[in-house]
Amino acid sequence: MTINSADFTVGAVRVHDRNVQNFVDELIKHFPIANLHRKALRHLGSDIVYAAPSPIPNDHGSWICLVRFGQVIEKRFGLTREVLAYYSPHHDLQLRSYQRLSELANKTPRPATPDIFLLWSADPSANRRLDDWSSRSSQVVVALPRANTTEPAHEIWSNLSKRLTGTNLYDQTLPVTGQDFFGRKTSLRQLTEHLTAGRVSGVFGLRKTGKTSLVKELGRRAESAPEVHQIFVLRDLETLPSLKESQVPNLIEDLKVNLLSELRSEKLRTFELANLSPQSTVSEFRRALHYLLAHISKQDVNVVLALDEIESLVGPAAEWNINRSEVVELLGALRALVQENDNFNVLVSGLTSSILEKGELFARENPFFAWASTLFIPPLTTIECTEILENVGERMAVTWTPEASVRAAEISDGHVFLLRTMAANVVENLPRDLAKRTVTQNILESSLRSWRRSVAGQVHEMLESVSRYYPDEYSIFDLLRTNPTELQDIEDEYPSIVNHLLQLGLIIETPSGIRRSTLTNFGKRPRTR
Amino acid sequence: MTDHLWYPEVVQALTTGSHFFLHYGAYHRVDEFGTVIFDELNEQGYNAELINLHGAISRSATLVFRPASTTNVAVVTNMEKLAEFPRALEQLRSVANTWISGNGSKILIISRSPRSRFPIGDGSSLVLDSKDIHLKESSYADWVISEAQNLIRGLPRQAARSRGLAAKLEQAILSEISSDKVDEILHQVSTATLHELGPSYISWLDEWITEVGETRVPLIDVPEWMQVELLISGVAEIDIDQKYLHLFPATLGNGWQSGLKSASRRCTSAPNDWRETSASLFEIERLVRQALAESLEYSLGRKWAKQVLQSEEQDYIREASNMATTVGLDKLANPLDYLTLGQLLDIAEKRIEGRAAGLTQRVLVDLRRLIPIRNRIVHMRLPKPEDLTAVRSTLRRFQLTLRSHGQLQIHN
Repeated sequence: MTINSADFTVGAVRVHDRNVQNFVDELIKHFPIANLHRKALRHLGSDIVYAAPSPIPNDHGSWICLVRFGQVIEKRFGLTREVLAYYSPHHDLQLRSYQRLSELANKTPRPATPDIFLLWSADPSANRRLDDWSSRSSQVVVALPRANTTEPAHEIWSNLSKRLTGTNLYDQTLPVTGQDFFGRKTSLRQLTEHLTAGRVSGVFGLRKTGKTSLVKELGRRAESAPEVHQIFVLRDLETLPSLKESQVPNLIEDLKVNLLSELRSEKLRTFELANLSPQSTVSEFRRALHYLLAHISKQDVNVVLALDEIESLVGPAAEWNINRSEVVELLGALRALVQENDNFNVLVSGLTSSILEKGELFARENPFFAWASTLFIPPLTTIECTEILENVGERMAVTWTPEASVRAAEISDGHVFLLRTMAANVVENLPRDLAKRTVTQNILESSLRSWRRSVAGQVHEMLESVSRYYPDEYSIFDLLRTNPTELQDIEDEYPSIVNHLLQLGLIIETPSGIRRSTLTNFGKRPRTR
Repeated sequence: MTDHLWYPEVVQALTTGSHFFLHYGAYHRVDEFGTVIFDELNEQGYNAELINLHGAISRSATLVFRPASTTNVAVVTNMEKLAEFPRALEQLRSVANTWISGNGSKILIISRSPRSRFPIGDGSSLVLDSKDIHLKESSYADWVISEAQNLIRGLPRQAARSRGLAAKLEQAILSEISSDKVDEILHQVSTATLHELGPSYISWLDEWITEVGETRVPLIDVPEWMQVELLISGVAEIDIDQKYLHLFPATLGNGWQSGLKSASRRCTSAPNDWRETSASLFEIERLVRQALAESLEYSLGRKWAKQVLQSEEQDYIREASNMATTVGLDKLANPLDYLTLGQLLDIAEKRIEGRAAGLTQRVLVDLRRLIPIRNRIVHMRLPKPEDLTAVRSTLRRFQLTLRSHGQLQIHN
C-alpha cells in the first residue's frame, strides 16, 4: 500500500533552519539511513527538528533527534509534543537501550513526548524485540524502517498505528500525574489555596477514587510552581510495620530520612535532623524539625508533609477506643509544628476522615479534630469524564462519539475507576483498523456486561472496606439497600450519616431526590432461604 | 504459537496492564507451585520470577519482596499465607507498586483462594489493584483430554474445560487407569476446588443443590462478585440466554456432588466468618435482652418478670435455668436470657417498653431477619456469603438506635 503525501499536507511541518540542517547532516553522516527516514517523515507531513549525539555517558556512537509530526498524525494520535528518535550503532539491540529512552526524553532542549519513541538499530530482530519489550511496559517504541524497505513512509505509518492501537492506556492501576492526570481542577485549586493559607487539609474518598493521584499531582505542581520554593514530602503509610508499637518510631525515622533527602538535594540545612538518633522520641523529632523550619524559613522554603493511606496509622473504627497514645502524640506534634511555623503544613489522605472528625481518638483528645479542612473527592463531572475518555483515547487512535462518552460518564457516575475500567474493556475489543476505532453508544452498551463482571470483585472489596472504616454509614447504606422506599425517613433520622454517604459517593443527590450510585448496584445481597 | 501452552490466556492477559490476579484453584491447576505458568511466561519471552510469600513472611516480621533486577514479571505464589496477615498484604502493595512503577514490570498473583478470601486490611491491598484473569479454554488441555478419551471410557462431557483434571489424567493415562480411578480423580478435583472456594460458598451451593435441588440459579439472585468467582473457579457457567447460573457444569460429572459432600465435611475448623458472625450475634442478643429488661424494670419495677411473662414462658425459663419453683424469677440476673430470640422479639413487639428500649418496628424486622443466620451459626453449620455483613449491619443499626434512645454508651 502506498501512502499518499497529499493526505498529510494539512499542518505539515517544514524545517528550513540552517542550524537544524547542519545537525541533521551530521546525523546522516553517522547514520545514512536517517536520510531515508527524513524523506519518509516529510512524506508524512513531518520532519526532524533537532539532532545530537546521545548525551548519556557510556552511550557512545548513539544519536538522538526530535521528530515533529504534522497536524494529521498529531491529531490522530493525540500527540502534543515532539517525539524522540534514537539511533543505535550496535548490531545487537539491548534492553538497556530501550530502558534509557525515557531518560533521554528529558535531556533534549524541549521535553519530548514521555511515552512514545522512535528507534533505529541495525539489529535485524529489532522489530520483534521492540514488540516484546513494548508489550510489557507503558512506553511505546516504534521501529524506524531498515534500508531495504520499499515504502518507508508506509512502514512508519503502519508501525506507529500498530503499536499505538496495541496499547490500552485506560488500563492504569498506579497513581497518575502530569499529562496522565485529568480534571479535578476545583479540588486542586482548593487544596492549593489551603496549602498557601497554611491550613491543614484532609483528602478522603473511597478506594480507587484517585486520592493518591490527586495528592501526587498537587505535590508536583507545588514543587514546580515558580513563585515559591516548596518541598513536598509524600509518605505512603502502607509500609508501616505490623506491630502497632513500632509504627510511630518507624514513621519518625522514615520522615527524617525523607526530609533529609529532600533538604540535601536542595542544599538546605540538615544538621538538627541528621543528628537525631534512630530511637528519637516524638518530642525530639518535633524540636529538631521546628528548629530547622525556622532556619529554612529565612530562605523562603516551605515544607509540606503529605501522609497518604492514613488508615494504616489510625486503623479501623473498631480500634479507635484502644490506647495508642503515641499516635495522638505524633498528631499533636504535627499540629504544634504547623501552628508554630508558617512555612510548614500537613496534608492527610485516605479512606477514613475520622482523623479530622472524631473528637476522641484512641481514648484521647484528637489534636486534629475540627481543625483541618476536609475534602471528599467529588465524582468527576461529565465534562471531566469526556476529557479523560477523549484525551487518553486519542493517544491510541480511539475516538468517542459524544453520546457514547456522555453515556459512559452517566454509567460510571463519575467514579474514575469505573470510568477507566469501562473504557479499557471497550478498547480491548476494538479492531486495530484505524478507521474502526470510534466508540459508539452501541459498542459501549454491548460491552457493559463483560465490564461489570471484570470489576465486580474489586467493587465488592471497595464496599467491604467501607464497612470497616464507616460502620455506621455502611449499616445505614445496607438499610437503604433492603428498604429503598424508606429513604426519606432514613434521611430524616440519620442526616449526618446520609451526608457522609453522599460525600463518599455511595448515594447521589439528583433533582428528583437521592438515589444509589452505580458502584452500589454491584453490591446486592445473595438471595438465601 | 500458544497451542502447546496450558495457560495461553495468562500470556495473552499480560500484554496490557500491570497487576493481575489468577484464581489458581484445583479445577484449573496443573501443578502445585505455579512452575508451569513460570515456565510458559519465560518461554514466551518474559523474565518471570516465582516469589513464594510463605518464606517471605515466616522469616521476618516485615515482608520481603525483592525480585531480581532482570525480572519483569513477579509471579507471586502462596498468597493464601497473607490472608492471615492483613498488614503484610498492605505492605506488599506498597513495595510491589514501587517496584512496578520503577521499571514498568508486572505482577501476577496466583492464588488457590478466590479474591474475596483476602481481607481488606487497614489500607488498600494489592489484590484490589489487580484485575482478574479469566481462564477459558486451552487447546493443550483439549488435546490431552481427547487422548485420554481414546483410552478411558466414561469421561464427562466438556472434561477439557478443567485443566486440573486434564493434568491428572495426563499422568494417569500412562498407567492405564480403570474407570474407578477416573471417578476418584473427578472426586478429588471437585473436592479440592470447592474446599478452596471456601466454607461460605460450600454452604451456599449446598442450599441450592441439596436443599432446593436446583442447579440453575437466576442471576438476579446472585451478586455479581459471587457470579464472577463461581465462573472463574469453574463451579458454574452462565446459560446461553444469560439469565441463569448453571451450577456444577458437565465438566466433572458426578464428581461435583460427591465433592460437595466431601468438601463440606472437611470444614472442621471454625471459619473466620463464623467466628465473627457469632461474636456479633452474641453482642446483638445480649444488647436486646439487656435493653428490654432495663426498659421493663424502669417501667414496672424490679418484679417485672411476673407481670410481663406468661405462665408458659415462666415455666420455660425455670426449666432452662434449672431453677426451683420456690425462687422468684426476679432473682435471675435477667430472666429474658433464657428465652429464645423468637420469644424475646414477640414480647418486645407486644410491649410498649419494647419501643422505649429502641426495639422499634424497623429494628424488630431487622432482628427477625437474623433468625435463620443465628440458627445456622448456633447449630455449627457453615455461614453463607454475606451473613457476616448482614449481622454486622444489624448490630450497628441497633447500636445507633440505642444511642439515639440514650441507652448505650458507645465509645468508638
